[in-house]
Amino acid sequence: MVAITGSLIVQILIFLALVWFTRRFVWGPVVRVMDERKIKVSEGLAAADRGKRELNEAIADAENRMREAREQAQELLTSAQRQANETVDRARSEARAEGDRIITAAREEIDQAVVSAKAELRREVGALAVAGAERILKREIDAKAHNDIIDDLVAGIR
Amino acid sequence: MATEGSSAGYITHHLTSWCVGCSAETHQPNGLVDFGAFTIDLLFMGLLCAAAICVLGLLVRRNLSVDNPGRLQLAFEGGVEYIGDQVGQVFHGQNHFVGAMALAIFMWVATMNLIDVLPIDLIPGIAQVVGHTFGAHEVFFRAVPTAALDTPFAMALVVFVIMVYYQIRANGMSGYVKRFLTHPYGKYGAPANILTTLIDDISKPISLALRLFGNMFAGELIFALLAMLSVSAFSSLSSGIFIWPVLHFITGFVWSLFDTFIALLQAFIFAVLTIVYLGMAQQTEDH
Repeated sequence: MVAITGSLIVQILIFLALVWFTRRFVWGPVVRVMDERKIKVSEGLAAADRGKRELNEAIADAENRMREAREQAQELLTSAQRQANETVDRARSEARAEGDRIITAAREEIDQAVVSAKAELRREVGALAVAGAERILKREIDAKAHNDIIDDLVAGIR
Repeated sequence: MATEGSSAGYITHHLTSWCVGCSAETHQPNGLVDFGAFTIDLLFMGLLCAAAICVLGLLVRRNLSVDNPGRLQLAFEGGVEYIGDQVGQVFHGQNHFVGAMALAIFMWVATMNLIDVLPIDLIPGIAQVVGHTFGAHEVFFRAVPTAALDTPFAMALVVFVIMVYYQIRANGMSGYVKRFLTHPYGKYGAPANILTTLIDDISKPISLALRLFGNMFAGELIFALLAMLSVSAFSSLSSGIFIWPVLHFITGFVWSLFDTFIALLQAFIFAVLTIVYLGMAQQTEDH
Protein backbone atom coordinates (compact mmCIF):
# COMPACT_ATOMS: atom_id res chain seq x y z
CA MET A 1 0.00 0.00 0.00
CA VAL A 2 2.77 2.43 0.82
CA ALA A 3 4.63 3.07 -2.40
CA ILE A 4 5.97 5.84 -4.55
CA THR A 5 3.88 5.60 -7.67
CA GLY A 6 3.09 7.44 -10.84
CA SER A 7 0.00 8.81 -9.09
CA LEU A 8 2.22 10.76 -6.75
CA ILE A 9 3.93 12.46 -9.69
CA VAL A 10 0.61 13.26 -11.32
CA GLN A 11 -0.85 14.60 -8.07
CA ILE A 12 2.21 16.83 -7.67
CA LEU A 13 1.62 18.18 -11.18
CA ILE A 14 -2.06 18.74 -10.46
CA PHE A 15 -1.16 20.52 -7.24
CA LEU A 16 1.43 22.74 -8.93
CA ALA A 17 -1.06 23.61 -11.66
CA LEU A 18 -3.64 24.50 -9.03
CA VAL A 19 -1.15 26.67 -7.14
CA TRP A 20 -0.25 28.44 -10.39
CA PHE A 21 -3.92 28.93 -11.20
CA THR A 22 -4.72 30.25 -7.74
CA ARG A 23 -1.80 32.68 -7.84
CA ARG A 24 -2.64 33.90 -11.34
CA PHE A 25 -6.44 33.97 -11.37
CA VAL A 26 -7.63 34.11 -7.76
CA TRP A 27 -5.06 35.50 -5.33
CA GLY A 28 -3.70 38.23 -7.62
CA PRO A 29 -7.02 39.71 -8.78
CA VAL A 30 -8.61 39.48 -5.32
CA VAL A 31 -5.63 41.17 -3.67
CA ARG A 32 -5.69 43.85 -6.35
CA VAL A 33 -9.39 44.50 -5.78
CA MET A 34 -8.89 44.67 -2.02
CA ASP A 35 -6.00 47.12 -2.37
CA GLU A 36 -8.03 49.20 -4.78
CA ARG A 37 -10.91 49.30 -2.33
CA LYS A 38 -8.57 50.25 0.51
CA ILE A 39 -7.29 53.21 -1.52
CA LYS A 40 -10.83 54.13 -2.52
CA VAL A 41 -12.06 54.06 1.07
CA SER A 42 -9.23 56.24 2.35
CA GLU A 43 -9.78 58.61 -0.56
CA GLY A 44 -13.47 58.67 0.21
CA LEU A 45 -12.83 59.48 3.87
CA ALA A 46 -10.42 62.25 2.88
CA ALA A 47 -12.98 63.60 0.43
CA ALA A 48 -15.65 63.52 3.13
CA ASP A 49 -13.36 65.49 5.47
CA ARG A 50 -12.58 67.96 2.74
CA GLY A 51 -16.27 68.29 1.92
CA LYS A 52 -17.15 68.97 5.55
CA ARG A 53 -14.44 71.61 5.80
CA GLU A 54 -15.57 73.20 2.55
CA LEU A 55 -19.15 73.19 3.73
CA ASN A 56 -18.17 74.98 6.93
CA GLU A 57 -16.19 77.49 4.93
CA ALA A 58 -19.10 78.02 2.60
CA ILE A 59 -21.48 78.54 5.51
CA ALA A 60 -19.12 81.11 7.07
CA ASP A 61 -18.74 82.78 3.69
CA ALA A 62 -22.48 82.92 3.20
CA GLU A 63 -22.98 84.42 6.64
CA ASN A 64 -20.34 87.05 5.90
CA ARG A 65 -21.98 87.93 2.65
CA MET A 66 -25.37 88.12 4.24
CA ARG A 67 -24.10 90.48 6.92
CA GLU A 68 -22.43 92.63 4.30
CA ALA A 69 -25.58 92.70 2.23
CA ARG A 70 -27.63 93.69 5.24
CA GLU A 71 -25.24 96.52 6.06
CA GLN A 72 -25.27 97.64 2.47
CA ALA A 73 -29.05 97.62 2.39
CA GLN A 74 -29.18 99.61 5.59
CA GLU A 75 -26.76 102.14 4.10
CA LEU A 76 -28.77 102.37 0.92
CA LEU A 77 -31.95 102.87 2.90
CA THR A 78 -30.40 105.63 4.97
CA SER A 79 -29.02 107.47 1.97
CA ALA A 80 -32.29 107.09 0.10
CA GLN A 81 -34.15 108.54 3.05
CA ARG A 82 -31.70 111.41 3.23
CA GLN A 83 -32.07 112.01 -0.47
CA ALA A 84 -35.83 111.94 -0.21
CA ASN A 85 -35.76 114.43 2.64
CA GLU A 86 -33.49 116.69 0.64
CA THR A 87 -35.74 116.45 -2.38
CA VAL A 88 -38.81 117.26 -0.32
CA ASP A 89 -37.05 120.20 1.31
CA ARG A 90 -35.87 121.51 -2.01
CA ALA A 91 -39.32 121.17 -3.51
CA ARG A 92 -40.86 122.93 -0.55
CA SER A 93 -38.44 125.88 -0.71
CA GLU A 94 -38.86 126.12 -4.46
CA ALA A 95 -42.62 126.10 -4.08
CA ARG A 96 -42.39 128.79 -1.45
CA ALA A 97 -40.17 130.96 -3.68
CA GLU A 98 -42.52 130.45 -6.59
CA GLY A 99 -45.48 131.39 -4.37
CA ASP A 100 -43.69 134.51 -3.20
CA ARG A 101 -42.91 135.46 -6.75
CA ILE A 102 -46.52 135.02 -7.83
CA ILE A 103 -47.76 137.05 -4.88
CA THR A 104 -45.30 139.85 -5.62
CA ALA A 105 -46.33 139.93 -9.26
CA ALA A 106 -50.00 140.00 -8.29
CA ARG A 107 -49.39 142.89 -5.89
CA GLU A 108 -47.55 144.84 -8.54
CA GLU A 109 -50.41 144.31 -10.93
CA ILE A 110 -52.88 145.40 -8.32
CA ASP A 111 -50.82 148.50 -7.56
CA GLN A 112 -50.62 149.30 -11.26
CA ALA A 113 -54.35 148.84 -11.62
CA VAL A 114 -54.92 151.10 -8.63
CA VAL A 115 -52.55 153.75 -10.05
CA SER A 116 -54.22 153.65 -13.49
CA ALA A 117 -57.68 153.69 -11.90
CA LYS A 118 -56.68 156.74 -9.83
CA ALA A 119 -55.31 158.49 -12.93
CA GLU A 120 -58.57 157.73 -14.79
CA LEU A 121 -60.64 158.88 -11.86
CA ARG A 122 -58.61 162.10 -11.57
CA ARG A 123 -59.15 162.82 -15.22
CA GLU A 124 -62.80 162.13 -15.03
CA VAL A 125 -63.20 164.09 -11.81
CA GLY A 126 -61.35 167.08 -13.42
CA ALA A 127 -63.67 166.91 -16.39
CA LEU A 128 -66.72 166.56 -14.15
CA ALA A 129 -65.60 169.49 -11.97
CA VAL A 130 -65.09 171.68 -15.05
CA ALA A 131 -68.48 170.67 -16.42
CA GLY A 132 -70.08 171.35 -13.03
CA ALA A 133 -68.48 174.73 -12.68
CA GLU A 134 -69.57 175.69 -16.27
CA ARG A 135 -73.12 174.80 -15.38
CA ILE A 136 -72.91 176.89 -12.23
CA LEU A 137 -71.31 179.86 -13.89
CA LYS A 138 -73.27 179.47 -17.12
CA ARG A 139 -70.26 180.32 -18.99
CA GLU A 140 -67.29 178.84 -20.30
CA ILE A 141 -64.39 178.60 -18.04
CA ASP A 142 -61.13 179.06 -19.57
CA ALA A 143 -59.63 175.81 -18.67
CA LYS A 144 -56.28 177.20 -19.23
CA ALA A 145 -56.78 180.01 -16.76
CA HIS A 146 -58.06 177.76 -14.06
CA ASN A 147 -55.90 174.84 -14.69
CA ASP A 148 -54.00 175.33 -11.50
CA ILE A 149 -57.27 175.31 -9.47
CA ILE A 150 -58.42 172.09 -11.18
CA ASP A 151 -55.09 170.49 -10.61
CA ASP A 152 -55.29 171.37 -6.95
CA LEU A 153 -58.74 169.80 -6.85
CA VAL A 154 -57.66 166.66 -8.55
CA ALA A 155 -54.64 166.35 -6.38
CA GLY A 156 -57.02 166.55 -3.44
CA ILE A 157 -58.58 163.23 -4.60
CA ARG A 158 -56.18 160.64 -3.38
CA MET B 1 -20.71 -6.41 -4.48
CA ALA B 2 -18.07 -8.65 -5.81
CA THR B 3 -16.56 -9.52 -2.47
CA GLU B 4 -19.93 -10.33 -1.03
CA GLY B 5 -20.78 -11.49 2.42
CA SER B 6 -17.92 -10.80 4.76
CA SER B 7 -17.61 -7.45 6.44
CA ALA B 8 -13.84 -7.52 5.96
CA GLY B 9 -14.49 -7.91 2.25
CA TYR B 10 -16.75 -4.86 2.23
CA ILE B 11 -14.17 -2.71 3.92
CA THR B 12 -11.25 -4.02 1.89
CA HIS B 13 -13.20 -3.35 -1.27
CA HIS B 14 -13.76 0.23 -0.15
CA LEU B 15 -10.11 0.75 0.64
CA THR B 16 -8.81 -0.62 -2.65
CA SER B 17 -8.06 1.79 -5.44
CA TRP B 18 -8.84 1.51 -9.11
CA CYS B 19 -5.21 1.16 -10.07
CA VAL B 20 -3.82 0.96 -13.58
CA GLY B 21 -0.43 -0.72 -13.63
CA CYS B 22 -0.82 -2.44 -10.28
CA SER B 23 -0.50 -6.18 -9.82
CA ALA B 24 -3.65 -7.99 -10.90
CA GLU B 25 -4.05 -10.10 -7.76
CA THR B 26 -3.34 -7.65 -4.92
CA HIS B 27 -4.40 -4.43 -6.69
CA GLN B 28 -1.33 -2.83 -5.11
CA PRO B 29 1.76 -1.30 -6.73
CA ASN B 30 4.59 -3.69 -7.55
CA GLY B 31 7.20 -2.85 -4.94
CA LEU B 32 8.01 0.35 -3.07
CA VAL B 33 8.73 2.37 -6.17
CA ASP B 34 6.42 1.80 -9.11
CA PHE B 35 6.13 4.74 -11.45
CA GLY B 36 3.91 2.70 -13.74
CA ALA B 37 1.14 2.50 -11.18
CA PHE B 38 -1.63 5.05 -11.42
CA THR B 39 -4.59 5.16 -9.06
CA ILE B 40 -7.09 6.48 -11.57
CA ASP B 41 -9.88 7.04 -9.02
CA LEU B 42 -7.80 9.30 -6.77
CA LEU B 43 -6.35 11.20 -9.72
CA PHE B 44 -9.82 11.65 -11.20
CA MET B 45 -11.34 12.90 -7.95
CA GLY B 46 -8.36 15.17 -7.28
CA LEU B 47 -8.61 16.66 -10.75
CA LEU B 48 -12.38 17.04 -10.37
CA CYS B 49 -11.92 19.00 -7.14
CA ALA B 50 -9.17 21.14 -8.67
CA ALA B 51 -11.39 21.82 -11.67
CA ALA B 52 -14.29 22.79 -9.41
CA ILE B 53 -12.01 25.24 -7.60
CA CYS B 54 -10.82 26.66 -10.92
CA VAL B 55 -14.39 27.18 -12.10
CA LEU B 56 -15.27 28.86 -8.82
CA GLY B 57 -12.14 31.00 -9.04
CA LEU B 58 -12.91 32.07 -12.60
CA LEU B 59 -16.47 32.89 -11.54
CA VAL B 60 -15.18 35.12 -8.77
CA ARG B 61 -12.63 36.69 -11.07
CA ARG B 62 -15.21 37.51 -13.72
CA ASN B 63 -17.49 39.27 -11.23
CA LEU B 64 -14.80 41.05 -9.25
CA SER B 65 -16.03 44.42 -8.07
CA VAL B 66 -14.42 47.10 -5.93
CA ASP B 67 -17.62 48.86 -4.96
CA ASN B 68 -20.19 46.09 -4.87
CA PRO B 69 -18.64 42.72 -4.03
CA GLY B 70 -20.87 39.66 -4.14
CA ARG B 71 -21.07 37.02 -1.41
CA LEU B 72 -18.70 34.67 -3.19
CA GLN B 73 -16.16 37.47 -3.66
CA LEU B 74 -16.47 38.41 0.01
CA ALA B 75 -15.85 34.79 1.01
CA PHE B 76 -12.74 34.70 -1.16
CA GLU B 77 -11.62 38.08 0.16
CA GLY B 78 -12.04 36.80 3.70
CA GLY B 79 -9.83 33.81 2.91
CA VAL B 80 -7.25 35.90 1.10
CA GLU B 81 -7.19 38.45 3.89
CA TYR B 82 -6.81 35.83 6.64
CA ILE B 83 -4.04 33.97 4.82
CA GLY B 84 -2.42 37.27 3.90
CA ASP B 85 -2.38 38.21 7.60
CA GLN B 86 -0.80 34.88 8.54
CA VAL B 87 1.83 35.20 5.82
CA GLY B 88 2.45 38.81 6.83
CA GLN B 89 3.07 37.80 10.44
CA VAL B 90 5.49 35.03 9.56
CA PHE B 91 7.28 36.70 6.65
CA HIS B 92 7.37 40.29 7.96
CA GLY B 93 6.00 41.43 4.63
CA GLN B 94 3.81 39.99 1.92
CA ASN B 95 4.71 36.84 0.03
CA HIS B 96 2.09 36.34 -2.63
CA PHE B 97 3.39 32.97 -3.78
CA VAL B 98 3.17 31.38 -0.33
CA GLY B 99 -0.21 33.02 0.25
CA ALA B 100 -1.58 31.71 -3.01
CA MET B 101 -0.18 28.25 -2.29
CA ALA B 102 -1.76 28.18 1.16
CA LEU B 103 -5.08 29.27 -0.33
CA ALA B 104 -4.82 26.60 -3.03
CA ILE B 105 -4.00 23.98 -0.39
CA PHE B 106 -6.91 24.98 1.79
CA MET B 107 -9.43 24.99 -1.05
CA TRP B 108 -8.22 21.78 -2.64
CA VAL B 109 -7.85 19.81 0.58
CA ALA B 110 -11.16 21.07 1.96
CA THR B 111 -12.98 20.08 -1.23
CA MET B 112 -11.38 16.63 -1.34
CA ASN B 113 -11.97 16.06 2.37
CA LEU B 114 -15.63 17.01 2.13
CA ILE B 115 -16.22 14.22 -0.39
CA ASP B 116 -15.88 12.02 2.68
CA VAL B 117 -19.24 13.25 3.92
CA LEU B 118 -21.04 12.10 0.79
CA PRO B 119 -22.68 8.66 1.22
CA ILE B 120 -19.86 6.17 1.22
CA ASP B 121 -21.31 4.00 -1.54
CA LEU B 122 -22.52 6.87 -3.75
CA ILE B 123 -19.48 7.59 -5.92
CA PRO B 124 -18.12 4.02 -5.87
CA GLY B 125 -21.66 2.87 -6.73
CA ILE B 126 -21.81 5.17 -9.73
CA ALA B 127 -18.35 3.98 -10.77
CA GLN B 128 -19.55 0.39 -10.40
CA VAL B 129 -22.55 0.97 -12.67
CA VAL B 130 -20.44 2.77 -15.25
CA GLY B 131 -17.74 0.09 -15.03
CA HIS B 132 -20.25 -2.74 -15.45
CA THR B 133 -21.80 -1.16 -18.53
CA PHE B 134 -18.32 -1.11 -20.04
CA GLY B 135 -17.93 -4.78 -19.15
CA ALA B 136 -15.59 -4.53 -16.17
CA HIS B 137 -15.96 -7.43 -13.80
CA GLU B 138 -15.00 -5.77 -10.53
CA VAL B 139 -14.72 -2.01 -10.06
CA PHE B 140 -12.69 -0.52 -7.25
CA PHE B 141 -13.19 3.16 -6.57
CA ARG B 142 -12.00 5.28 -3.67
CA ALA B 143 -13.70 8.63 -3.62
CA VAL B 144 -11.60 10.60 -1.10
CA PRO B 145 -8.13 11.42 -2.51
CA THR B 146 -6.84 12.71 0.85
CA ALA B 147 -7.65 9.37 2.50
CA ALA B 148 -4.83 7.85 0.45
CA LEU B 149 -1.15 8.68 0.80
CA ASP B 150 -0.45 10.02 -2.68
CA THR B 151 -2.28 13.31 -2.52
CA PRO B 152 -1.13 14.47 0.95
CA PHE B 153 2.44 13.51 0.11
CA ALA B 154 2.27 15.24 -3.25
CA MET B 155 1.51 18.51 -1.49
CA ALA B 156 3.93 17.89 1.36
CA LEU B 157 6.78 17.15 -1.08
CA VAL B 158 6.17 20.38 -2.95
CA VAL B 159 6.17 22.25 0.35
CA PHE B 160 9.37 20.45 1.34
CA VAL B 161 11.17 21.37 -1.87
CA ILE B 162 10.19 25.03 -1.47
CA MET B 163 11.28 24.81 2.18
CA VAL B 164 14.75 23.66 1.16
CA TYR B 165 14.87 26.33 -1.55
CA TYR B 166 13.96 29.04 0.96
CA GLN B 167 16.58 27.79 3.43
CA ILE B 168 19.27 27.91 0.77
CA ARG B 169 18.06 31.28 -0.50
CA ALA B 170 18.14 32.79 3.01
CA ASN B 171 21.48 31.39 4.19
CA GLY B 172 23.30 30.37 1.04
CA MET B 173 24.51 26.86 0.23
CA SER B 174 27.24 27.08 2.86
CA GLY B 175 24.76 28.25 5.47
CA TYR B 176 22.49 25.34 4.60
CA VAL B 177 25.32 22.84 5.03
CA LYS B 178 26.59 24.60 8.15
CA ARG B 179 23.18 24.27 9.73
CA PHE B 180 23.31 20.50 9.25
CA LEU B 181 26.75 20.32 10.83
CA THR B 182 26.39 22.68 13.76
CA HIS B 183 22.77 23.27 14.40
CA PRO B 184 21.45 22.09 17.74
CA TYR B 185 24.58 20.94 19.65
CA GLY B 186 27.40 23.19 18.47
CA LYS B 187 30.28 22.41 16.13
CA TYR B 188 31.67 19.41 18.04
CA GLY B 189 28.48 17.38 17.84
CA ALA B 190 28.48 17.10 14.05
CA PRO B 191 27.15 13.51 13.64
CA ALA B 192 24.34 14.09 16.11
CA ASN B 193 23.69 17.44 14.47
CA ILE B 194 23.29 15.92 11.04
CA LEU B 195 20.88 13.31 12.35
CA THR B 196 18.85 15.78 14.39
CA THR B 197 18.60 18.39 11.66
CA LEU B 198 17.70 15.71 9.13
CA ILE B 199 14.89 14.49 11.37
CA ASP B 200 13.92 18.07 12.05
CA ASP B 201 13.54 18.79 8.34
CA ILE B 202 12.11 15.48 7.14
CA SER B 203 9.57 15.25 9.95
CA LYS B 204 7.84 18.41 8.73
CA PRO B 205 6.55 17.17 5.37
CA ILE B 206 5.94 13.68 6.77
CA SER B 207 3.88 14.93 9.68
CA LEU B 208 2.08 17.30 7.33
CA ALA B 209 1.10 14.48 5.01
CA LEU B 210 0.44 11.79 7.61
CA ARG B 211 -1.75 14.06 9.75
CA LEU B 212 -4.07 14.73 6.86
CA PHE B 213 -3.98 11.17 5.57
CA GLY B 214 -4.58 9.68 9.04
CA ASN B 215 -7.54 11.88 9.82
CA MET B 216 -9.25 11.34 6.50
CA PHE B 217 -8.46 7.62 6.33
CA ALA B 218 -9.91 7.16 9.80
CA GLY B 219 -12.97 9.16 8.84
CA GLU B 220 -13.56 7.05 5.76
CA LEU B 221 -12.96 3.85 7.70
CA ILE B 222 -15.51 4.81 10.34
CA PHE B 223 -18.09 5.59 7.64
CA ALA B 224 -17.41 2.15 6.18
CA LEU B 225 -17.78 0.49 9.59
CA LEU B 226 -21.03 2.35 10.24
CA ALA B 227 -22.30 1.34 6.81
CA MET B 228 -21.73 -2.27 7.80
CA LEU B 229 -24.52 -1.92 10.36
CA SER B 230 -26.93 -1.82 7.47
CA VAL B 231 -24.97 -4.13 5.19
CA SER B 232 -24.80 -6.96 7.70
CA ALA B 233 -28.40 -6.45 8.75
CA PHE B 234 -29.62 -6.96 5.18
CA SER B 235 -27.21 -9.76 4.32
CA SER B 236 -28.26 -12.00 7.22
CA LEU B 237 -31.93 -11.64 8.01
CA SER B 238 -31.85 -11.66 11.80
CA SER B 239 -34.59 -10.70 14.22
CA GLY B 240 -33.41 -7.19 15.03
CA ILE B 241 -33.18 -6.17 11.39
CA PHE B 242 -34.82 -2.78 11.81
CA ILE B 243 -32.56 -1.62 14.63
CA TRP B 244 -29.39 -1.61 12.59
CA PRO B 245 -30.33 0.78 9.77
CA VAL B 246 -31.77 3.21 12.32
CA LEU B 247 -28.60 3.01 14.35
CA HIS B 248 -26.61 3.43 11.13
CA PHE B 249 -28.58 6.58 10.33
CA ILE B 250 -28.08 8.15 13.76
CA THR B 251 -24.39 7.34 14.09
CA GLY B 252 -23.77 8.23 10.45
CA PHE B 253 -25.43 11.60 10.96
CA VAL B 254 -23.37 12.38 14.04
CA TRP B 255 -20.16 11.25 12.37
CA SER B 256 -20.96 13.34 9.27
CA LEU B 257 -21.14 16.45 11.42
CA PHE B 258 -17.89 15.62 13.15
CA ASP B 259 -16.17 14.62 9.93
CA THR B 260 -17.19 17.89 8.27
CA PHE B 261 -15.49 19.67 11.10
CA ILE B 262 -12.39 17.48 10.80
CA ALA B 263 -12.32 17.93 7.02
CA LEU B 264 -12.25 21.73 7.25
CA LEU B 265 -9.93 21.72 10.25
CA GLN B 266 -7.38 19.49 8.53
CA ALA B 267 -7.44 21.64 5.42
CA PHE B 268 -6.90 24.69 7.61
CA ILE B 269 -4.06 23.05 9.55
CA PHE B 270 -2.31 21.96 6.37
CA ALA B 271 -2.50 25.49 4.93
CA VAL B 272 -1.38 27.26 8.10
CA LEU B 273 1.47 24.84 8.79
CA THR B 274 2.66 25.30 5.21
CA ILE B 275 2.91 29.04 5.89
CA VAL B 276 4.64 28.47 9.23
CA TYR B 277 7.16 25.94 7.88
CA LEU B 278 8.01 28.13 4.90
CA GLY B 279 8.29 31.14 7.18
CA MET B 280 10.71 29.25 9.42
CA ALA B 281 12.69 28.13 6.37
CA GLN B 282 13.35 31.65 5.10
CA GLN B 283 14.65 32.94 8.42
CA THR B 284 18.37 33.66 8.50
CA GLU B 285 20.48 31.82 11.06
CA ASP B 286 21.50 34.84 13.12
CA HIS B 287 17.86 35.74 13.42
